[in-house]
Amino acid sequence: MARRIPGSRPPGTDGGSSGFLRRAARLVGRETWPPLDRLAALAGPVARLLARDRRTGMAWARKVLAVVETLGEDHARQCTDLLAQAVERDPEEALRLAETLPDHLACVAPADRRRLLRWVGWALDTQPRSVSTLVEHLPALLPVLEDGALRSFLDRGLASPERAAAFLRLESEASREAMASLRPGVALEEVTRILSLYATAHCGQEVRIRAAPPEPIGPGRRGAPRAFADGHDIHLPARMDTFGDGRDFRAYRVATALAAGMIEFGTFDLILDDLPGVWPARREGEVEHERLFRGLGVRSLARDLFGILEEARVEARIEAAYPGLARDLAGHRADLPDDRPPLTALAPVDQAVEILARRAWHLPRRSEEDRELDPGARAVLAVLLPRLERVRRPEADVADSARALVEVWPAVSGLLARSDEPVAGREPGLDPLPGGAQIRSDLRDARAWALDERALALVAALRAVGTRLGLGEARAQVASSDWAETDAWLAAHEAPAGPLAEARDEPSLSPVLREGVDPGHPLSGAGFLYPEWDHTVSDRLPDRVRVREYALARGSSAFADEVLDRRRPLVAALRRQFEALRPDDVRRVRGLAHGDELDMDRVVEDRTVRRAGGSPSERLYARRERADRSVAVAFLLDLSSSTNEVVTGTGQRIVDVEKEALVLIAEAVDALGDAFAIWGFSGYGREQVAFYVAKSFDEPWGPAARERIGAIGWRMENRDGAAIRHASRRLLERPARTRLLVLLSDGKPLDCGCERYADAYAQEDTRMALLEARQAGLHPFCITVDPHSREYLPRMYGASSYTVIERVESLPARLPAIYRRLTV
Amino acid sequence: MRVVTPPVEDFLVREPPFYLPVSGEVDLFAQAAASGLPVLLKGPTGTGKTRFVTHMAWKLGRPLVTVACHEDLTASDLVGRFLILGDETVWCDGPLTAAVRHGAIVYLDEMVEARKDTLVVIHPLTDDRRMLPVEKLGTVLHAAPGFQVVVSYNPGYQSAVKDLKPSTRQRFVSLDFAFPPPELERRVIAAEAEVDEALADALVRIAGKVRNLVDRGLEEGVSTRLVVYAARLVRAGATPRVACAAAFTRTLTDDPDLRRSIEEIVADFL
Ligand SMILES: Nc1ncnc2c1ncn2[C@@H]1O[C@H](COP(=O)(O)OP(=O)(O)OP(=O)(O)O)[C@@H](O)[C@H]1O
Ligand SMILES: [Mg+2]
Repeated sequence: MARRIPGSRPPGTDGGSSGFLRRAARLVGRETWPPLDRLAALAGPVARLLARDRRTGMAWARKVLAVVETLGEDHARQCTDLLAQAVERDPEEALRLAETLPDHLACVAPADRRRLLRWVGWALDTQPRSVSTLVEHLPALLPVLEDGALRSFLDRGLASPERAAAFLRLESEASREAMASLRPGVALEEVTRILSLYATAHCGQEVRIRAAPPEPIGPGRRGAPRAFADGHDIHLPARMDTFGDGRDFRAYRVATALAAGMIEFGTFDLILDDLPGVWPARREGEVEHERLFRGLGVRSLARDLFGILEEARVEARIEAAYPGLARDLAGHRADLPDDRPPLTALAPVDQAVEILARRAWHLPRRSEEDRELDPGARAVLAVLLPRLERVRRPEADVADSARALVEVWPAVSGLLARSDEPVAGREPGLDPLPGGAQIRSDLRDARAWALDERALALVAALRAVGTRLGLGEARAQVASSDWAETDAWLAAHEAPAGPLAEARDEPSLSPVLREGVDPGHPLSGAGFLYPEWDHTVSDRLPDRVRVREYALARGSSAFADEVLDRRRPLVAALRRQFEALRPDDVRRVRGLAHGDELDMDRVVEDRTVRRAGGSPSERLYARRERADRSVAVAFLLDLSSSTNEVVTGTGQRIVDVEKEALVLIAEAVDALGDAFAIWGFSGYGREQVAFYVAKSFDEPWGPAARERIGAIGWRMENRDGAAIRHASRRLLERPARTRLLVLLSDGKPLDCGCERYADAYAQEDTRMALLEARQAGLHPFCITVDPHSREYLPRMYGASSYTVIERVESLPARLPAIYRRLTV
Repeated sequence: MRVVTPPVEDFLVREPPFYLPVSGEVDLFAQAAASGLPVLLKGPTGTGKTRFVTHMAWKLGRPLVTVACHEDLTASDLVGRFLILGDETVWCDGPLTAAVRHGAIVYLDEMVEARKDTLVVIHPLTDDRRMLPVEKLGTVLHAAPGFQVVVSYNPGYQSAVKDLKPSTRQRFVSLDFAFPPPELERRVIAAEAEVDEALADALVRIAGKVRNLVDRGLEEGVSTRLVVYAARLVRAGATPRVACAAAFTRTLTDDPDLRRSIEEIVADFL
């Protein structure tokens, strides 16, 4: 397209306004002439704008050409008109609008542009002072709210121009509520936990729900809401609003169930070497079925066929096992429009895939199938469809799907070779039916990959010695024992070089660990040396770690005050409840010479003895006495850097939630009268394990302790074993009948300083430290907020002395209940 | 002085209680009984411990004396006490003494609930002395043949102050109770609630799924007892969904998300 017409003067342009345009262009510094023919119609309006408000007019004249080029003349003119209205109402807003409107307009889908401009017009009439703020947010709002809902939303949000920005950015509480109530459909956030519990219950292993990457929307593809299964987590669209009613939740549920079914019924348990044939060597980070596709050649085609067969197989298993779910699945499918592409639009091989998919998804037979189906495709289907029936049998497993794929492959690839399309051009694969589940191992996170790598290694190692183990079982095995990491660790692990004593003279402490420590308080000198348990040699390594104890400095009580204030009703209730626990410990002391009441048993006994001529007793009284509850509890807080993570949904950091919980439990235990201490630990390497005292046993729960809780913050690593050993020592110094050590943690023990303290070594050491504590007569109890803790906790903390807090934010309310149960 | 002992008839199990053996526990218990060894039944609530003991008492033809332990249980409550009847002073045997005389099985349910100083009275009965000193009577009773101490213990209750002392624990041979495998549990449900196998199967499989949520918000899984309850509700006319909501969902948790996910699991099966 010719953009410049040098020297020519297009017909029909009136000299006046193009003269103006030239002047305007010079004024705004453009070097080239605008294509006057395309601007002619705009010249008048722009000129009028300039005349009315010089600044806005100039800003707009600078842009208008680009607007015409990118958005078209219609939109450019509408914008110009809107600006003309804007300068009448509020010149400052008009200027801002001139600067930003085109960019925002360009952001929205072409179909929504006119709508956006209409809303700008509406705002100019009703909320002229907020117009530029609104324009900024309209691109995000338009796709999610239809006009009626948007109107209600804006009515609420723009009422006060000061608060409009926060409202539109969805930062205010009110705006979130408004959005949630107006927007049709269900947001994933609202149902994540329900769905993850649901999938976890089905699969018998922890399954996380994550937001899927947005689906590419392009020709032939719709933004189809469905699940992706990677064998570990389930990925779902961030929002489900296909129906705008209760069926949206059903859509989530069905998609989750299909993806969970892939885990439950072993889609990811394929071991390729069990299939006949020669397959390429495994690449690092490659799932078995991808290796199969690579071996077959045309990966996208193989992937589509395998995906259809596997989904059909899993669906058949689900239908047999879960009749209720089968009904929902059928209902869900029936409610979706059949917008599959017509066969005429497809190459022969894709016709075959399409028909296979339609049969797999139980879509009705179309009349065109008889007319349009390519004979080659028909022949391939004669091979494909019986395989579909076969994988639907109840005894079929993933290997049967893979075998079916291998068997049909010659026919399918033969058809592909006949078509005109270049072989590699068969991308991006099958357009999926909404609501289904698709295998997408590429979405796995590092943790899932690592787990699978280890499971495959375990399977291979066992096969080498003639033992067969399924991949699913292998996965469960390695998830709980970390054996391969242990191997790797062992390989990398060297005996400590040189005498340890040398390093010890130097109390070098990382500044991070020193933060917030009370300088006036004497440091614990050379510290305390503790052994560590090395499970690889089943022995203690003596004097292996050094723990130093620090008193935290008094800071401000703002944190505790804020908690006590915000949680006032809860604090009052807790204090009441825990005070009420005290009388439980009143005990009846019998056999006293004086007392408040007669002990009937003894009176009767005495009378018998008297009758029998024996000597009477004087000890006939009983008294109610307040028993010494004699419980001492220490709370030991893991202060590793991971506690700095923000808890999703609350904006609070884990460590702050834990501190809040400590403030509350301190109130409760104080009301109960038990002796308690609050400690924290972190460190870096075995020479610097830091043990922080926020409240010692001897000090009352008062301002000083509250201020020190405020001073608790996250630090570096967590070497749990050493901290537990030191805490045990301190707790054992405390005389009490029941001594409880409550460990609050957010994950596995890990210390990457100098030698690695991780995986099996760290877990076994922690386990041993806890065992030692138990043997010494303490009651260790662990509370963890790590969702993956199920993999290692049962072994590390023993069968009955830990609890997993599902939602971190519920810790403050839960901790007192746990404490009660532990000590009553 | 008169000594009152409750008659042995009071403790006989007359109707054969239904019990489905899970993994050799019947034989092991019989062997322990034949050798006079005390038995510790460990396991979560509702896994058939009480039912098992009743069944074994019937099977072995022994009287069964059951004591539910609690905080205020005293040694006198177990051994016995003097009572004054009119002008007469009478000694009344406590359940433990009665069991010793009758050669019964004495079942101390939830033993950890009793105070440790109360429990020491069973120590001489649980080693090879097999005797009970009754201080107030100034006598020592030797346990009649067949006498056996059986205690139950739920390790899930994680109270630090209520752990079993090793010296107590070490006096028993132990049997673990857990939820039976699905196949057996289904037969238990079908028999206990007199429902058809298909319903029993669905309920057992729902329970199995819900048990996967233990430690993820649920403190304890659905017990066999609760599955029996649900089945009985259905038999009495409730719809399965309502029965599950009443017996499982609402009983197990107050957490709305957990409730919802359990409801969805239930819906999958019905
Ligand atoms: N193996 C079994 N055979 C027959 N019934 C069983 C079996 N296991 C469980 N039950 C059923 O479970 C119910 C609960 O069992 P029971 O009362 O014996 O539990 P428990 O282990 O004693 O529980 P708790 O610890 O709460 O006392 C029984 O009434 C019975 O219906
Ligand atoms: Mg019982």
